[in-house]
Amino acid sequence: MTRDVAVALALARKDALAELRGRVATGTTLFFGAIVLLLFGFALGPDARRLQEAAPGLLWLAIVFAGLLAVGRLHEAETEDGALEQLALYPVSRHALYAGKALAGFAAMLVLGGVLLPIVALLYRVDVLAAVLPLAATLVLGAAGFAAVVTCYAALTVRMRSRELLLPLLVLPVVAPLLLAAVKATVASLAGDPLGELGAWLALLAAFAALMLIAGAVTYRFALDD
Amino acid sequence: MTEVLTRVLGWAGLLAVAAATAYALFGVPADLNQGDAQRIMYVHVPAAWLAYLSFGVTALGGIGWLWKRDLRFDWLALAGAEIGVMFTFFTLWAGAMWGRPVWGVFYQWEDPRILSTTILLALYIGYLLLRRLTDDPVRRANRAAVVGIVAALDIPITHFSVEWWRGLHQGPTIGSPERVLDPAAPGQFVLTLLAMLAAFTIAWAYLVVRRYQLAAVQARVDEAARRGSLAAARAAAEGGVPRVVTE
Amino acid sequence: MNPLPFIVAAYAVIVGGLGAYVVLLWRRLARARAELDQAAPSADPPRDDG
Repeated sequence: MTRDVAVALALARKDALAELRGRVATGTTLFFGAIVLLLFGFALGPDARRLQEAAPGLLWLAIVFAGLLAVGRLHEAETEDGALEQLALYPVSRHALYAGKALAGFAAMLVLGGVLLPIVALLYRVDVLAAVLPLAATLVLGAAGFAAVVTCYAALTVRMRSRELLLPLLVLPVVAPLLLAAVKATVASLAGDPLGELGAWLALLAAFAALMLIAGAVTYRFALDD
Repeated sequence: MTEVLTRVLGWAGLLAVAAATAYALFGVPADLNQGDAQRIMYVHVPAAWLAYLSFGVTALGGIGWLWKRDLRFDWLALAGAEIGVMFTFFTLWAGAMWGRPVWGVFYQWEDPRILSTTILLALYIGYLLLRRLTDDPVRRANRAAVVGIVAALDIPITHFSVEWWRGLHQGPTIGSPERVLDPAAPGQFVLTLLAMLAAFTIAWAYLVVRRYQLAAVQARVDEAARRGSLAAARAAAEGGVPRVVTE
Repeated sequence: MNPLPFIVAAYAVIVGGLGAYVVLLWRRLARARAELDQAAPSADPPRDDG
């Protein structure tokens, strides 16, 4: 068990180092998310109030789109030089491999959210400073659930020719409830939770993350094609 | 023997669907509040029930494959998904046809069930696409099982999330679909619905059996094709006369 | 609003769709069985699938 944890941490650390050294294009993903946010602004017109109202939904759409690229890349990077085959050959449990990959994906999502949230605040004139704590909770739980799903599905599609097409197609309907709950939690956080519903949405996000983490851990070895 | 039983099932489904549909359209009186539009519920509810039943079969087939490593479970899962997608579409279609005269719109964003059913359709269309894009039967079964299980787990969460979502909107609730299942509704309506449920379920069972048989035959065709191309490649490698392999 | 066209549309698509799917299944099954006979003519005798 302790060994599994060590393996997972080592794997996540390796991915994080690779990202930091610029082997995997984190910057590109962040830039993509920012561009998406800018274009949403263009699409909705210059009405500041409209943008403010739509900001939570647009933020999470940008996080989902950019997150698909970011977390998907983590597996794609492994296919170069047959690293994935070597990884699968290591005598470690598949649960540990999944945990490591999901942890790396989770970290990538946190970075993504941490960068895109201030951009939303600036572009759409949303006051996020007043609600930093509930927003952070939403981001953490949402990132965990998202990373849990995408890590499993990325392993599934990574060896397929049409993976760029198939991964979003498979992931987007699955994360629909996550998107809904995260947007609702963000709206509630920004408004100061007048209806007292923030807890329920956060609980839903936590339940989604827990369920998908268990499902991912159980099925990851089949997704990897052992 | 199996063939005879399957045919009996097919005939039973055909007769039951024809009789129940005729009664739902012409026999049972119109609903007092909603008039004839309520007749659409008699196909809408069975379609939704069979969609869920199909996806349950797909999830169980996936679990069975991962557990027993028997491809027959995978064929069953495929049958469930394909037929489930069809019934999910039927559910949405009947819902839209009912919503237009009763609610005034085809697609009611305030109704949570429409939203979760649409997500359901997207989930399993993805499942079928994934299957199409994989050739190796074992890999296909593995991948499909993972997606089938995750999708099934996603269904209740999606349901809850949209159910809560509506809580704030407080959309129009006049003529909600479950009226027909209300115990206070006249017995004749309930009986018609039960008859339709039974009839469509028999037809569904026939479809599942036939689709499963198709998957079984196709698996043997693919296997034969693989062996054929392997033999041709071997002959070519040994310097024999290479034979043209046609697909 | 007169619901009749919507009732007809709902039943026609569902009952018609079921019928079309059954016919399609039969044809796919027949074609697959023919392909199987062609691919493996004498390897194993035709048997009852299912």
